[in-house]
Amino acid sequence: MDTDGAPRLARRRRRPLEQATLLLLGAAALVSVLVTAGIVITLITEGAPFFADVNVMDFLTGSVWEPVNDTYGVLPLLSASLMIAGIAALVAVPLGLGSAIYLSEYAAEPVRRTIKPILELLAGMPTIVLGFFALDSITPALQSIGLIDENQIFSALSAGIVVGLLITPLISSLSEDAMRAVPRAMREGAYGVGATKRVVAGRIVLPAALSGVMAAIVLGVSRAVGETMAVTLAAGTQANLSANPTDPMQTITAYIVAISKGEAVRGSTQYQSIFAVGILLFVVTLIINLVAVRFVRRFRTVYH
Amino acid sequence: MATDAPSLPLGDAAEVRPLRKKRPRPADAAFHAAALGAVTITMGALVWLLGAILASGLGSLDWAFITDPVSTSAERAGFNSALRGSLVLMLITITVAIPIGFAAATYLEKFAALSRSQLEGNAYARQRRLHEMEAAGATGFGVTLKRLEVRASFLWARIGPPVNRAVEVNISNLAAVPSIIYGLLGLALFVSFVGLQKSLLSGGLTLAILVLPIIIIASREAIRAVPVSIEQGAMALGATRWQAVSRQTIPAAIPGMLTGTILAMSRAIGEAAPLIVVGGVAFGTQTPSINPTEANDTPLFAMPLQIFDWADRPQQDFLDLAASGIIVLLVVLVLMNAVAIFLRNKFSRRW
Amino acid sequence: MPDSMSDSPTTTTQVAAGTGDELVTTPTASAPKRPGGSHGVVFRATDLDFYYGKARALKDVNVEIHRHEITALIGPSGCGKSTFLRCLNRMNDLIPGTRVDGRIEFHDQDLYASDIDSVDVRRRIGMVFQKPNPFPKSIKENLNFGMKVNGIKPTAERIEAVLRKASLWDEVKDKLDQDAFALSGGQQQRLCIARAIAVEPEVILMDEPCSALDPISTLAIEDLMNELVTQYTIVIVTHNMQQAARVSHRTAFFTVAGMDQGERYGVLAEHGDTEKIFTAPADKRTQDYITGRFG
Ligand SMILES: Nc1ncnc2c1ncn2[C@@H]1O[C@H](COP(=O)(O)OP(=O)(O)OP(=O)(O)O)[C@@H](O)[C@H]1O
Ligand SMILES: [Mg+2]
Repeated sequence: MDTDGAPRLARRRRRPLEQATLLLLGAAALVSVLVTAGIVITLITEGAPFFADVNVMDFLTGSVWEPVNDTYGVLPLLSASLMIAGIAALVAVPLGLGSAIYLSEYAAEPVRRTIKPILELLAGMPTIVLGFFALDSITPALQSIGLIDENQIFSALSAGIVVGLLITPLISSLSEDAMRAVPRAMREGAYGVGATKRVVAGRIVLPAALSGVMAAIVLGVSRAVGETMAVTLAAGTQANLSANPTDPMQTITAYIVAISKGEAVRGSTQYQSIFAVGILLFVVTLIINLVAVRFVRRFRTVYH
Repeated sequence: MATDAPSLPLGDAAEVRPLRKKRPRPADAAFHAAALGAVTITMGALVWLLGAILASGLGSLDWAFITDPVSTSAERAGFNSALRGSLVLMLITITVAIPIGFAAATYLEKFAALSRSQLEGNAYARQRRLHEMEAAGATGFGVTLKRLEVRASFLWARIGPPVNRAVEVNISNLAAVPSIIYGLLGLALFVSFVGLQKSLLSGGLTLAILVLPIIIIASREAIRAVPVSIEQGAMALGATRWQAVSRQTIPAAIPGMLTGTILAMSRAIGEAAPLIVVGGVAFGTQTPSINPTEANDTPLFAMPLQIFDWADRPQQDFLDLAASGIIVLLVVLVLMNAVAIFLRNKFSRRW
Repeated sequence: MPDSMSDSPTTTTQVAAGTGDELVTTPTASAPKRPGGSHGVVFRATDLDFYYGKARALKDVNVEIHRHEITALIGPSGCGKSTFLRCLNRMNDLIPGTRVDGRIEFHDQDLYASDIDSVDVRRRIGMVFQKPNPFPKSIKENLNFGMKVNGIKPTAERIEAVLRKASLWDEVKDKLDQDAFALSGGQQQRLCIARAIAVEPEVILMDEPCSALDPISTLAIEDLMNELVTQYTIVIVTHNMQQAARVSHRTAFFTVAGMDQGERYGVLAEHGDTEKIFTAPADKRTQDYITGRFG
């Protein structure tokens, strides 16, 4: 209070401690940018020397990957990654979409509330567990139906199936969210002209939720391309450019694991090669994720 | 109007048709069956998976499995080293990721959202005070500092909002980067560049970076769930913005932030790929120290790594050991999730 | 508006004249004349009770709805008008946990008999909702959808015919492939009406079809109803007393009851000729409600 009678408003005070705290908080937020920068910088600095030894075009278009012979054509690894992601999508899109339609259009609320967390258990499963499942159960099952040879352990098919199981809940959960976001009025409008549940789900809800569903699928595929442990265990460590899904194959991620398991000395071409293929993996998944972001953005604007 | 409309049989007929009886709709039934089938197959796969793990793993699961260190003989091999390793990893990860994650979430949710015009307003207020100082004839270091502050705040008004937006986009992109890429980052940054050992320390730091975006996203949601009115109430009592946020909003959001953190940790504890890249697959029979200060000298043991090592061997005995290890890992995961659910139910509040 | 609607209800006719829309207001002495034709009973509800889970929403509703007439359902908010309306085309079947007790007959057949196909019911008894709810597709596809699911061939002539019937043709004939969301609210609502008549229903149920619309669009839709009633039976829920008095032939007044037993459900207080309900209501609650609005 003032002494000369009339109460005066206090002047603005500086609060240096508070300012400093806010700066610290902002710095923490910047760490995430540093992480991205770190990823880009380390991939480039550690991977660039690789391209001093290996021609970029040979790397990108070569169809033989034999590090022991210094032959680095990345197509076998890339095609294995994409093929397994493709198989996973073939498994996960019908299962995930079917589950999403069931949960959002058919299941009674208590059923939905029980099933959804159970499906999410599968999504939270460490991928090493799915790798085990592939070796222990899926591969023998494929052998017993004659799809792969009796004494063949590794196959892209087995890996693709378990990765598909892994991304199914991701796809179903995100798609279901998108489908439930379709306003009830829109469904009722269709029921009101005599549409059946199938028609409402297939011709009204699914198209209205399409960009959300597409985003879910694209994110699932991105996850499948970057998936490591299940494919390392199930698809094998033999680089192999093949169109036959029952062959063993080595993905980009499995190659990184194979080199990391051994002792790759810093500065060796092998050490550099894991960063080189890392760049490729990063770019591929980044592109896929950007596509997903586009879909999500479209989905957000659909009802406004 | 309707007068010149082509005459079509619209409207009801003179005689009344009876209502149609229910009839089978094969296409609808098939569609329903397909949707139900998709759920059933997925759930069936989960049951199969759990059954297969229990069938192979229960046999070699006993107390000795938990207490024995790793060994080259399947008979004597235990999971103790892996458990210790994972414990230390989690300690390091939490210690690093929580402060950064919570701070970043608080900043992004509560302080980053200022628009350009608001920031410009702040800058002009600072400029006014500078002019007052100059008019009062002040000189020296204080005025120079103030002048810098004014410049900086005008600059921030221009670049702040896009920077904040970029940070946000960046975080959601980071959450979708494959985990093995984080391994490459950890290897290059902590091992090659900083010069740490291929150890629990470099592994834990790598996992901390891996979960950071997840923690930030979950914490922001928790903070957003606390109504702004609470903050305004505090400010109406004379608290500064920071006081209102730090003493009212954040404490109310803490249970949600912790729940998100536990879920992020349950992702981290099952990650094998980045750890392999950073530290290889440890072998040897020593018992890793659980003293975090020795983490840089302790080889990288972890549950998922041990499971991978066992599952990667051709002998059935080791595959069974892997299943036992998976059971232990899943039990730990279930416990962590139970804690998260407990926290959420205990402290969750309808605002 | 006159202060006593019951004395001189007003019908307002919209004349679409070239560029500008002129409004011609003609006061009439009584409610609309009933068009000719048979006046058979389309719906007969007998001792109808309705439950959302355990909560009763309607009790003991007994009412008849006549052919080629507009029946208005009025009453305070939450008294179950929409619920009743949605019982008439089995729309409530889609809400889990709902239950109908008592009987609703459609042309003397039990609408809720276990062997009746509810999809066919909804096709023959069309519905227009409170908020326009076009599908996020083109205008043409909005109309095609219902026809296709009902096996009607969506020809260009038919599309023109239904759009003309819904007084929308002139406004949209050049943009049939445009997104329906780009239409104004009133146009969207008329599109929803066109969508409903495109599948040749016998009855059109309308739940506050004008509540999201401006007065001009409201009048356009009222005119449309007057025209449609020569071919269809119309049931309309409205909060607008003038609207009920203007367009309907019969009025059913619902109100809330059961509060003294700690319950809250809707009952039918009174129904009959619109003119009578508005001029000489027999029920005290009707009188209060109507005079409360106009007194
Ligand atoms: N889907 C529902 N689930 C549970 N209760 C409902 C549901 N729809 C309506 N009710 C309840 O049933 C009662 C009647 O609702 P209804 O929508 O039929 O009233 P209304 O007369 O149409 O009211 P308004 O004039 O406000 O539209 C209300 O108490 C409402 O809360
Ligand atoms: Mg209503």
